[in-house]
Amino acid sequence: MALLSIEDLSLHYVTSRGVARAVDGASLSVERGQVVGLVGESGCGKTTLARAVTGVIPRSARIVGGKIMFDGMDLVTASRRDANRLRWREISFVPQSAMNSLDPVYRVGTQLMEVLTDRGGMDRRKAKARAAELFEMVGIGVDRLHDYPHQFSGGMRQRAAIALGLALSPKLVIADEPVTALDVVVQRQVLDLIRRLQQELSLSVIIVTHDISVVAYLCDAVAVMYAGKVVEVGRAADVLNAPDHPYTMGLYNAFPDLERSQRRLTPIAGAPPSLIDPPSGCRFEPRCPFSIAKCGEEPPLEEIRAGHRAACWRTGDAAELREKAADVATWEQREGVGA
Amino acid sequence: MSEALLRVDRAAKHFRVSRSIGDVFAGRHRVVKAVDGVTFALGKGESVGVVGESGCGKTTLGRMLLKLIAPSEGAIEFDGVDIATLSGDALLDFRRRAQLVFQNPFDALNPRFTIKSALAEPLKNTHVPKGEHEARMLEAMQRVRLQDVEAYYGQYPHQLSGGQLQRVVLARALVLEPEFIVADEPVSMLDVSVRAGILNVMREIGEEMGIAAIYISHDLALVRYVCSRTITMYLGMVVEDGPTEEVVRRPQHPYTQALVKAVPTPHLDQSHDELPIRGGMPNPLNPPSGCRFRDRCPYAFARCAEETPPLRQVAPKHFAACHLHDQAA
Amino acid sequence: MAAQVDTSPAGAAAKPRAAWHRRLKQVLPTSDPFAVAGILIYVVFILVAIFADQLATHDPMEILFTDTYKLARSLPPGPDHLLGTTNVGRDIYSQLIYGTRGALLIGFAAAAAVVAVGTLVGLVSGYLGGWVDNVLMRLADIALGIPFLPFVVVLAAFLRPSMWNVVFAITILLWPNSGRVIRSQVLSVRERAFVEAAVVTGASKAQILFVHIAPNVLPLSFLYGSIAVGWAILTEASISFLGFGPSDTVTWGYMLQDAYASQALSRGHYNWFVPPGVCIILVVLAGFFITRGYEEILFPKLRR
Repeated sequence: MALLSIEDLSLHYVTSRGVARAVDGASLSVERGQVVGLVGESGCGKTTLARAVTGVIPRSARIVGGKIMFDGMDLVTASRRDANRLRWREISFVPQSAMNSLDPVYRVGTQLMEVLTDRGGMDRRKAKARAAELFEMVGIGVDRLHDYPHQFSGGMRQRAAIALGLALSPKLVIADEPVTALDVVVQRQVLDLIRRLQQELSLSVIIVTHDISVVAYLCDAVAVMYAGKVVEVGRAADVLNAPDHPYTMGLYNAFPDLERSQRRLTPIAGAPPSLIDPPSGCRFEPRCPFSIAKCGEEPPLEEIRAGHRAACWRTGDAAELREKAADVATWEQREGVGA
Repeated sequence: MSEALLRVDRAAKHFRVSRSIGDVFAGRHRVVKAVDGVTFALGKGESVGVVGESGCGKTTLGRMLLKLIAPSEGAIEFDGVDIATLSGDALLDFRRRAQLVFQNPFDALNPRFTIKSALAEPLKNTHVPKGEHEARMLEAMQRVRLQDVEAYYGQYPHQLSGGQLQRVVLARALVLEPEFIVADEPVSMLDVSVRAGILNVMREIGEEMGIAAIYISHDLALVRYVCSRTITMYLGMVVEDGPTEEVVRRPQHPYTQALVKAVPTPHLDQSHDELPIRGGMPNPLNPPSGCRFRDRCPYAFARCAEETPPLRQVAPKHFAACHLHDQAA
Repeated sequence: MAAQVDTSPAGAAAKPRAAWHRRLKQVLPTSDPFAVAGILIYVVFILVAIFADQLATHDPMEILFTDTYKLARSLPPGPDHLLGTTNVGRDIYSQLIYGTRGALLIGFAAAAAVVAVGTLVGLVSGYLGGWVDNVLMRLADIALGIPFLPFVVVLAAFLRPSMWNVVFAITILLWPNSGRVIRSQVLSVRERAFVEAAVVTGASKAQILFVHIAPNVLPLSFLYGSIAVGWAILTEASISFLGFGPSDTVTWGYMLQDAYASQALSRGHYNWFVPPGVCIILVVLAGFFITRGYEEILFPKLRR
């Protein structure tokens, strides 16, 4: 049984301009010890979906349907107390900006201790030992426990945030854009750290990211989100090597690649649709170079081969489309939309 | 590279910082050498990538090239004239010829200006005859592939997406028909799917319009896509300078080697080996003696602590500042 | 993560009205219900002030007599005297109407002066920096160090207690608040990329200051303006109450002072001192409601 399985989850925001369907019937599952990447552009709902699991959602957001099953318990219908207990001890969230998870007026060690004593119920001596152990685990000198967050570099803050996330030995860690603001060298070091800890502690991890290279480097499985929907999900190798959804193809071909040098990059024309008034059919249709009449209807997320699902009417032609998608001209014909 | 458009001669920028309350009261300052003796020349129409991690001085360098920050030492010549001496009409002419593309498109346009007035402003400022405005703006908008120009003109920045905004920012630089552009991490705030469009325009600017460009980024893959030559900076100094293909395939400085290995790729079969680099950036207030990279370098030896390595030629047009390349030793 | 905004430039159909609406929203906060209530209260008082001559039933300072030639002293509210009369036979309702004019004139004049001086000082000080900044900010420190009420009282007494001198005194004391805040705002706007963009594209210093920076700090000026209106009216009321108010104008403060000196409180003449008190509270409250609206424009994160 999967550790976490999100089934047909919908989450809406009430805004002054109407209801925004930030997450609209998304499904995702995370096996024990698996690293799952949740990829998509800003505004696609990936962070909202991840936050829904942690229960930290804005006041204007409402879960309007679906289930979040964690270890046999539905977090949507569970009592607040039960859900929160799970959330603090077994699911942890490492927010996007590491600065956000660290309070600038307290020493980093103090903040770590607070989590351990208040939420973990440890006494001070135990907590102190655990804090030192955690810092060692993430590769920061134990003497730095006495530092304030501003004395840390960006990479160290991210490490400290990870230490904070691992404090209570969770089963599932959700990391929101863990390397986005970091330089490439530090980025790689943090990814290596996540990988090592995941293996040592046999954690399940969800990595929320806009960067498919992070998925390629780290993830076993990947779910691609677009405009509030999961459009493709499967093993990372399958999704990256043989994508079935045109959006995934587009993302892959838009990525500058040091190894295949001068290949021309293909931008995806236009911008994601409004979540308040999304297109009635496939939400990617307005930007898709392969759209057909049928795309006016919404495609279901269907299993194409074992463990690989995509929401597109043209998955039958996927091989041909992949070839066309690698050509700039294919995408440029729609560039008039104005990217 | 027969004619140099831009010559940077031992340019340096030192910032004074007061670190503690004690420093403030004692009137003490410490000096950060954000840029420390950078020398290079940029040919007409040449596009050069400047790569390095945050804090390496690449952004400060870019600002100095455009006379937004004055160098503490050294000189920067544009078309044979030291830009420090420019003022009045000569400065305005320089402003017309040298432009900047910003990292954050969401902040680079005045929120109270429509797109049209944002595009017209540079033309007005530099006294371009009013009759030319429409045509120039139209051309720039087409160059950055924003069709349906009239619809964009009436919009305010907050009504556009990041990708659209960055295209407008590019167009605003292009209306002046500049000869030189500094682009500071122009795609780092954008989603991958729209990055490619901006990068393609950046590439055209060099290849088709013959505009010289300095492209600042921490990501070698992006630089490789746009630039024919690459300069690597580390803690305020140039450590490698060479043709991009050479730098990427045969990096000569240990730091560039680490950077190349660290570049993210979308392939599953990539190496997961540890990077050939140790620790993090040293404190810029107190950089290591000799070679500044030595305490992170896997090959460091005694001489590295004693002597700062100069840029030495290692191949045609390819230079590296590393004692490993000193043939005499 | 916010909902994706519709970015298609084709959605520019209803443009003219939207632009007009945007302009209005930059000057007046119309989205917050409290701010709208504040604006409505202001509108009512402004109308009263403008049409005071038509609305008042008597000359506010005229000593009135009854039909039987007796002094019309301390009459209760009635059809002839809507709010009754004072102990020397003046019509309270008419005083209140003309008092509105006096209070608003002082309030708005002082606020306008405070905003003008504060904004200009803030802009110049923040943008130019250096010794100009130093001189202006030390002046502000000095002004802030002066005890508020005693200074106004002394200045008003020294320069003759006229309305304009009260405005002058209030301006001298209140400009540093807005000046400093606007300066700090300028310091932050100055660092934004679009200002650098203006430099790179050849804009002059004056252009950068007045075209790019000023409009982006203006909502803050209005915020301080709406605070200053309330402060000025309160200050005027305070000095009038202490007996140093302008002798040439009827204001709410004068009415309170008059009522207090005539022991209206102990005699239970509520109709005399309650109305001006309520008016002062209403205007000041309205000012703060509008302030709230400006805060939402300036700091959108405060929005729920």
